[in-house]
This record gives sequence, structure tokens and C-alpha cells, in this order.
Amino acid sequence: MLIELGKQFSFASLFLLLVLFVCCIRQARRGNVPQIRRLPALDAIEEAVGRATEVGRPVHFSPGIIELTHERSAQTLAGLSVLSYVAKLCARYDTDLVTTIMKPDVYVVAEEVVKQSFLEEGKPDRYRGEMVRFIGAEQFAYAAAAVGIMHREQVAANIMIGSWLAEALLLTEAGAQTGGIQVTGSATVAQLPFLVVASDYCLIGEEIYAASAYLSQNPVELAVVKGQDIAKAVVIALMGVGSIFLAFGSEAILQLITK
Amino acid sequence: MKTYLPVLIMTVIALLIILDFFVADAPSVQWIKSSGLVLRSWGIVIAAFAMGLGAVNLLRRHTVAVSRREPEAFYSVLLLGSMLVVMVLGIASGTDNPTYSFLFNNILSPASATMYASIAFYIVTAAYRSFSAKSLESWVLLITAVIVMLGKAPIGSVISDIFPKAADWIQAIPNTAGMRAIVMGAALGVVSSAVKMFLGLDRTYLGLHD
Repeated sequence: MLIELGKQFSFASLFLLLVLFVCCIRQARRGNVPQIRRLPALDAIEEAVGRATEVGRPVHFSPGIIELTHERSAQTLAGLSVLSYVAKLCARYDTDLVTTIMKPDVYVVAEEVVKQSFLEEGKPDRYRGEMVRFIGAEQFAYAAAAVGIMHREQVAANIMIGSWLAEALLLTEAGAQTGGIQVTGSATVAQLPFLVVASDYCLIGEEIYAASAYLSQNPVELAVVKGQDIAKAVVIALMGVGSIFLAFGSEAILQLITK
Repeated sequence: MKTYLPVLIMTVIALLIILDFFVADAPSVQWIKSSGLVLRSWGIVIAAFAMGLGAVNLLRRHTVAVSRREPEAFYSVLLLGSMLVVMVLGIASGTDNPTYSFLFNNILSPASATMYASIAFYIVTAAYRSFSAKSLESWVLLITAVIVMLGKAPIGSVISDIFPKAADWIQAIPNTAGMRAIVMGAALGVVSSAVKMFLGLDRTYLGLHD
């Protein structure tokens, strides 16, 4: 047996998901482009950058505190997708951007993302190295420095999309004290309550992964979001059927998913 | 070429890492296991180089701040001085050095603990702002929070036995159900993000867009 026992169902599910995504993408390429619901948090980003432009103060962005090799790195990558959008808006409106980074591998990518965004907006000369700042790989040292930057530079918008731990509330409260619009997003369940209560708009869970598709309105990316929704419906159905089976004393579904 | 080659490299490496997780420990697929191990070691080495780049960024920015005599240049001097002392101590005599340990235990640890402790005050200010009952959602949040707080504080059980029971029910049933829904949705979101990268649809990690 090539696939380890206990992981066969997961492997088959992953393969089926891949097939489902490819089918949705093919449909979208034929012109059947799905629509996704409004995400007010993402709509608010342009408003936040616009307000920062009006008052002549910078925008603060953070893609979280997780490195690119961590199991939660998908959240960091989702944050970097939003960073490219924010950097483009800042380039378009000539607004200052401050990106604070805790992990060195994320710093390297974030610097490239911001630089490329300014280049795509036709303003490579407006990009400055200070726009992406590596703070230090220590959690509370990062939090203290980022809070200090937000207060000293009086940021007018605080955008935080990524994975967070205890420092989430420190950063969002600093953002609230400077009086700017706050847009946050995370799939880290333990920190979501803090982000929801402390920020003006919050992307919850899977919404951060749909952000890139929503912002670009790229038909292929929208198709992947549709595939994700179909998969979710299948998972819910499987849970329902499994519960009914268990209620009648059958462990067939349970045995299937643990194979 | 500049676009396709990095995507191709990423796809091949990601497939190897995924297969390494799934394949059994059989001789015919041993090459996948050993490739996965080597690739993960490469990841650690690359991350170490990235740390060097981060340190260069810090040095560059704070040196400029000092040379321009910016208003907060004092903090930059402090940072550069601390960085130099810790680096010299760590490289010259290792992290077991008593002075190195002293600096870590008596400066970094208490400072981190202070930051962590200040969260308690921030929770109060965040709660004060959000618990103003202006809408139906705020009312639900406010009532739930009051029940859970009374259920967890000793005074709650003195007032009524209902509070601890209600708090436990809220945490065990609606809260857990909501959390699991978020986790499941997010897990599918991770897979969809991975697929977008495999297919070269999301190239933000390369600093590239559509």
C-alpha cells in the first residue's frame, strides 16, 4: 500500500478537491463566472486608504506573525495578497505605507510585493525601503515596536490580515487610539473575538482566502471560491449523514473517514 | 520564463512535500520521504538567510535614523547598541554565556511579560467600546458576555446557580459549533489557496500579479 493507513480518505478527498477546482475553473473559462457576496471589510480598505490620503497620514499594514513554513502560513500568504492591493492603492493615491513584519522570510516576500505593486502602478520612484520594516522575530518586541510606530506616525488606517496570537489586541487597540479605520482578518479562532470587537471591519475565517479573488474579480480565482463552497456543502452533508448513521448505530461513515 | 520557472519549481516541491505526508514507509517510495526531509532542511537554511536580510534592514534603517538625527534617534542608538552587544556575546561565547543569559532573563523576559500583562487593560478598553448596545448584534454580544463573565466569576454562582450552567452551555454548544464551522471553512480555504498556487493563479508570493 503506497498511502499510509489512516490517511487514505484524506488523500482521496484532496485529489477529488483538486478535480472539483479544475472543473470549476474550466466552467469559468467557458464564461460561467460565479459571483461572490459582498465583503464589506474588503470594500472598506479603499475607504480607509482614501481617508488616510485626505488627512495626509500613513496606512499601517501587517500580514501577521507567522512564518512561511508554518502550518498557518496560508493566512500569511492571504495577508500578502491583500498587501499587494493596499500597496497599489497607496501608490495610486500617493499615500505613505508602513508595513511592519515580524518574520524574516515574510519580510523578504513583503518587500518584493510592495515594490512590484508600486512598479505596476507606474510609480517605482515612490517606493521607499522604509515602507516595509522588519521589526524582530520576538512576539512582544514586535508588538511593542508596531504599537510605537502606530502612535508616533499617527497612522490613519490599520489593516491587519494574517494569523495572530496575543499581540492582536495590543495592535488593534493602538489602531483605535490613533483614531483610524481598522480592517482586520484572521482564521486563527482564538484571536477572532478580539479582532471582531476591536476593529471596524473583520474578515472571519475563510473570507481571508477569498480576499484575493474578491479584490481582483479574476474569473478563475472566483471559480476556486465556488469550488470551495461546493466542497463545504459536501462536508456538511457528510457530517449530517454521519450523524444519522451514528444515531442508528452504524459507524460506516466514521470508519470511511478514518481509513 | 521568469514567471513559469518559479511556479514550476514551487509546484514540484509542494507536490513532493504533500506526498511525503501521505505515503507509507515503503522502500519503493523511500525517495519521496528522503526528498521531503532534504527540502524541509533547505527551508530552514533559507529562513536563516532571510533572518540575515532582516537584520541588514534593521541596521540600515536605524543607522539612517541616527545619521539624520531624527527625533527618535535615541531609540535607534539603543537598538543598535543592544543588537551589537547581544550579537557579539552570542557569537563570541555562545548562548550559554552567563552575561547573555542575564540580559535575556532580566531585560527581554520581563519586558515581554509586561507587554503580555498589559493585554488585560486593553481587553477592558476594547470591551468598553464594543459593549455599547447599539444594534441587535451588540445586544447579543453584551448579554452573552455578561452571562459568561458572571458564570466564570465567583459572584455569579452566589447570585444564582444558573449563571455557571449557562456559561458552560454557551461555551460548549454555540461557541464550539461556531468555532468548528470557522475551522472547517478555513481548512478548505487553505486547500483552495494551495490549488491556486499549484496552478500558478496566485503568484503574490513571487511579487507578481495577474
